[in-house]
Amino acid sequence: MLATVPSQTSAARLKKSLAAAGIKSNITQTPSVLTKEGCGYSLRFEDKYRQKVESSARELNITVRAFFAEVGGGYEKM
Amino acid sequence: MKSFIEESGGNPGRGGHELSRRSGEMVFGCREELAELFNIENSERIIFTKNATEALNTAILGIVGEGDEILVSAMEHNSVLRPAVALEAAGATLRIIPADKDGRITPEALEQVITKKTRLVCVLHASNVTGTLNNISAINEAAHSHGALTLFDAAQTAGLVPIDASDFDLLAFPGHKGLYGPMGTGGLYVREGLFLKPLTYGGTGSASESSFMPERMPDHLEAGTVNAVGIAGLLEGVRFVKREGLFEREHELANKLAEKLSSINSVEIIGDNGVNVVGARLKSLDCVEAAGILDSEYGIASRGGLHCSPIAHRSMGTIDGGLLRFSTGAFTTEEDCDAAARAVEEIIRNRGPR
Repeated sequence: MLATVPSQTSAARLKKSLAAAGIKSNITQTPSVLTKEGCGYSLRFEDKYRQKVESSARELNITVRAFFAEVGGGYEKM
Repeated sequence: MKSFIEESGGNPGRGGHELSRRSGEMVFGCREELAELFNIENSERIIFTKNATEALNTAILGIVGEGDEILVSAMEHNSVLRPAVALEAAGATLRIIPADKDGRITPEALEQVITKKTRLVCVLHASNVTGTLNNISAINEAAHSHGALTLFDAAQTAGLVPIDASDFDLLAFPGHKGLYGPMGTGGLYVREGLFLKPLTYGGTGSASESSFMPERMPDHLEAGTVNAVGIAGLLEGVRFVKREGLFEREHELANKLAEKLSSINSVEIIGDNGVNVVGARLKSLDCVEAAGILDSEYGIASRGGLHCSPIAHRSMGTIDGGLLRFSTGAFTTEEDCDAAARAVEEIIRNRGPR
């Protein structure tokens, strides 16, 4: 699953917070089909951690613009 | 820095490839280390600049506008004075906070000049001329009680003196002094909720379709590629400083040097060298000439003159001729201090007026 965030620094903060909770995630450039704003960054993680990602982002005051499930080579907005 | 270039070297926040990501994580790591050092909760509020001067200009020009009032201390470096004077020429009001005989800025001195119109109060943490250390927490409190914002210049103290910036509005710092990073690095902390007009506009690697700068920090104030190689060096410098805890040692050496210099006839120590800086007035010899002799004949690096701080020298009464300034560092020894004092004594004996 992908969570789109405002900047690479936001993605790095979120990744660090998740790592502290034992959750592995990776920073990736947001695919252009998922963003109307142009370049951006996302965090990729296993679907089961969505709630934890949401709560960590809230604690860090990071706006997750959207969550996308990766389905059959494409993306589905959650 | 070498391993960063060899193993990564990617442009942080530009593209999604491995080299860029690795570089981005290194830059983020440096932000986090700095945030921890200055007790800043959110590392996104720290932007990288090329030096403290750029950080100070970003803060001053990003906050103060026509019709606003800006207060700067009588001990400021030109990095604060010049943008403040430029703002004055553009319609802002500039007031100077007086210093005491040691070059210290006190909350009481601030109270003499602050008004309801004051938008920003700029004070250096320690003087680059005398080493006098200011109680910036007390100044911060006094400024806030009048509704003014605060900008502190930690050029002489970042990495050396413990700083808790959590209650400050803005803190500027260089990377190449007490943080032991390379030249070409520095930064600015901007507190949560404070919005600055950017000094530079351009690409941020984010929100590229918008013609406006992203509001999110650090991107809002960090247009263009950052000095990632320099930041790799700064990161190691910050780690070095945290590991070593240098203040007591460097300060003690500076105090010993000041004591030895002050025992020489016709040398007067100006200020109270509260950090690792010693400013000495040579009553019988030109300071710039003395610095030149120290370099060429003794291999000792010092700086004579006005130290880019004419307003401070005016305040201290040393504008004619300036001072001879020494500073101690992590690799300075007590023998170095002895040698410097002996050399000054010898130069005065041999070259001073008979």
